[in-house]
Amino acid sequence: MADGMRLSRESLQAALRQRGALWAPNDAGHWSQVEALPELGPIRPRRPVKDLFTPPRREIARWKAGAGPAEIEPAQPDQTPGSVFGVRPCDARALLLLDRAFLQPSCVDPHYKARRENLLLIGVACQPGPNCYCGVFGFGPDDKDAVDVMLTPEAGGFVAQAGSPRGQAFLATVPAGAAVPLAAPRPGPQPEWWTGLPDPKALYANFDHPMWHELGISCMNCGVCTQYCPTCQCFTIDDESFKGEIQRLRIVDNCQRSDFTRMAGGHNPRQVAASRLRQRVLHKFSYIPTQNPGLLGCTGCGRCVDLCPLDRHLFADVFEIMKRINQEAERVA
Amino acid sequence: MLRDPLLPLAARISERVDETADTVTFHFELLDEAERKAFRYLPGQFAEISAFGEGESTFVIAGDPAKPERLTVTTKRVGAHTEALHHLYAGAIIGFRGPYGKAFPVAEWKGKDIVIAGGGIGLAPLKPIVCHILNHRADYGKLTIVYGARSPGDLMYATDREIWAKAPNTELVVTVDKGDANWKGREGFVPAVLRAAAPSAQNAVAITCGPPIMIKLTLPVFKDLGFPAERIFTTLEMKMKCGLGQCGRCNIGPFYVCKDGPVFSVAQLQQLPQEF
Ligand SMILES: Cc1cc2nc3c(=O)[nH]c(=O)nc-3n(C[C@H](O)[C@H](O)[C@H](O)COP(=O)(O)OP(=O)(O)OC[C@H]3O[C@@H](n4cnc5c(N)ncnc54)[C@H](O)[C@@H]3O)c2cc1C
Ligand code: SF4
Ligand code: SF4
Ligand code: FES
Repeated sequence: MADGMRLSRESLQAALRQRGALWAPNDAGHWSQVEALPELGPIRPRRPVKDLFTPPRREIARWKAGAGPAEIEPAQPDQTPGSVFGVRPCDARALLLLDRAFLQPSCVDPHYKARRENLLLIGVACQPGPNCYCGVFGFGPDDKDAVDVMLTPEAGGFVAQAGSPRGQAFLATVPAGAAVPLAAPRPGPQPEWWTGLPDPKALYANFDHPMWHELGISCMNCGVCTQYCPTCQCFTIDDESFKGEIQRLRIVDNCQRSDFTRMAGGHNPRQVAASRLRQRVLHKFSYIPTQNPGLLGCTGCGRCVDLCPLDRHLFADVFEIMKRINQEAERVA
Repeated sequence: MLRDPLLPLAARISERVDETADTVTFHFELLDEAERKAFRYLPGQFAEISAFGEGESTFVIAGDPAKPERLTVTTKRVGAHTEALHHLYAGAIIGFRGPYGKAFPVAEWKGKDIVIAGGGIGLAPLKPIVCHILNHRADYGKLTIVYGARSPGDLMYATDREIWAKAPNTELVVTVDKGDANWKGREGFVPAVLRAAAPSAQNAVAITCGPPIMIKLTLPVFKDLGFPAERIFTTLEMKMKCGLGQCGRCNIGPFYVCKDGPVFSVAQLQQLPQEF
């Protein structure tokens, strides 16, 4: 069994401050710059850490109304070196999926890249909440695969292990405490409703199943589930003008809005609620794994379940139905 | 330094052609000389164009791919941003990002006959194909173009059509749904006119773009003429924002239309959910 490294809170904080700026969740659960390591709640904060990498609202450029093209000022990527403290495994794993979109070799987002390169991800193991289900995806609350350093809290400090060469190099800068044997990784929660991951092809094959309409009736398409999701990447591009200055903005958007696919002239391939809810499920559990083998559009953070105003648990319902469809198919065969 | 792929390049409109009452073609060039000289695109690729301060929208690059310094888009006025574009004239500055998307596989079509059926503004994505074939005339077999519009006043690309009509080994059939007092040409819908023209499917490729209803009725005609689904191509229209496979908007089945399309064979489309 590998060893972890015992770190006092003070020495970790000093080393992180030495490295640069520090971000952590604030009391409201938003990611903000801090001076000292905050006390964290037991589970992931309200907002996913993606906010620091692909912010809900970011400027592309600005210019004065009527200005010539030379006066277009592109927004500059934030190159501040630093660290993010308190990253949870579900949010860190979600970044691996966002990397596929924003670090595509043909169109790297320089803002995203700068943040990915400059910010060290310091994970802190969590105490799973009632709606967490990372365990079904094969990882748990102290998973270190997508962070640079994973910390397990203990009295007075943490036991640290490196999750990446970069994390290893950082740990070498922290005054070494005692080496302690690491406990076996804790499995993540496997909730009762989990009936197994449906096969991406089987889900797709049930594109026209009546379940989508039945489930669509009980959703109000508010989009909260996508707004808080750590893997959701959708955005829109808009120009906003204010007092003679125009900004081109990249603003978070979500597939549950009817306008999302409404084209000029009114044609909308996803006119009804059911079609948008189906899009959310199929994108996460069929299209993404088809395009990116090994990845899914969900990391089990449970925010969409926590935050749904109607207390819906869409995936539980869909997977239950898929399980019945499978059993039926097996019975017939 | 890495350039933000969402940041447009500035371009200057060099010429404006009012094609019909609601459709304007803009010819323009990139202001930055190095960018202008290095720019290349293929038939079927598209761009994001902006009237600064008014938004951004998607248009196919409807020029001659052999002359990439002179860029062209043909725009139909259908909403807020296209309305703003139509207030621009020669000399105005617009924003440009591109080229994006998969092109028509024109290199794979060498040695084959080409049959094109276009309706209305759907001629825009087809024009670069015609230019490419006429630029490399010996590489391709017979070219048949069936082009239709609602009325004589809705026909676009008058100058180009004059050239096409005289091109070697090329048959141009123009039709309108309903003629007017001065119209001496053909009347009838594209699918019916295509059926009557009856181009051979032997060693041939078919391409169709136009209003959804026209495409819907044209595909069975191609099928009846003997074209297999693998050899019929079209472009998919889906709302877009980024053009890069990032904003998620154009996702349909396992594809992003902006990245994996907009050009698809009918065989590929048959694999997609029937969402549109
Ligand atoms: C691959 C592709 C190629 C296209 N080529 C052409 C062309 O050559 N000529 C032409 O006139 N039109 C073309 N279109 C359609 C054109 O993009 C829309 O008509 C245009 O975006 C409408 O903008 P609007 O602001 O006037 O309309 P609004 O209804 O106000 O739309 C607001 C915004 O939504 C988005 N949007 C709305 N409808 C569409 C749509 N159908 N497709 C993509 N984005 C949309 C745009 O960002 C638009 O600015 C093409 C669309 C696609 C997907
Ligand atoms: S949060 Fe709930 S009601 Fe809102 S769109 Fe998601 S599932 Fe529907
Ligand atoms: S779909 Fe729900 S549970 Fe899965 S990652 Fe997104 S918010 Fe978390
Ligand atoms: S237009 Fe943004 S993903 Fe295709």
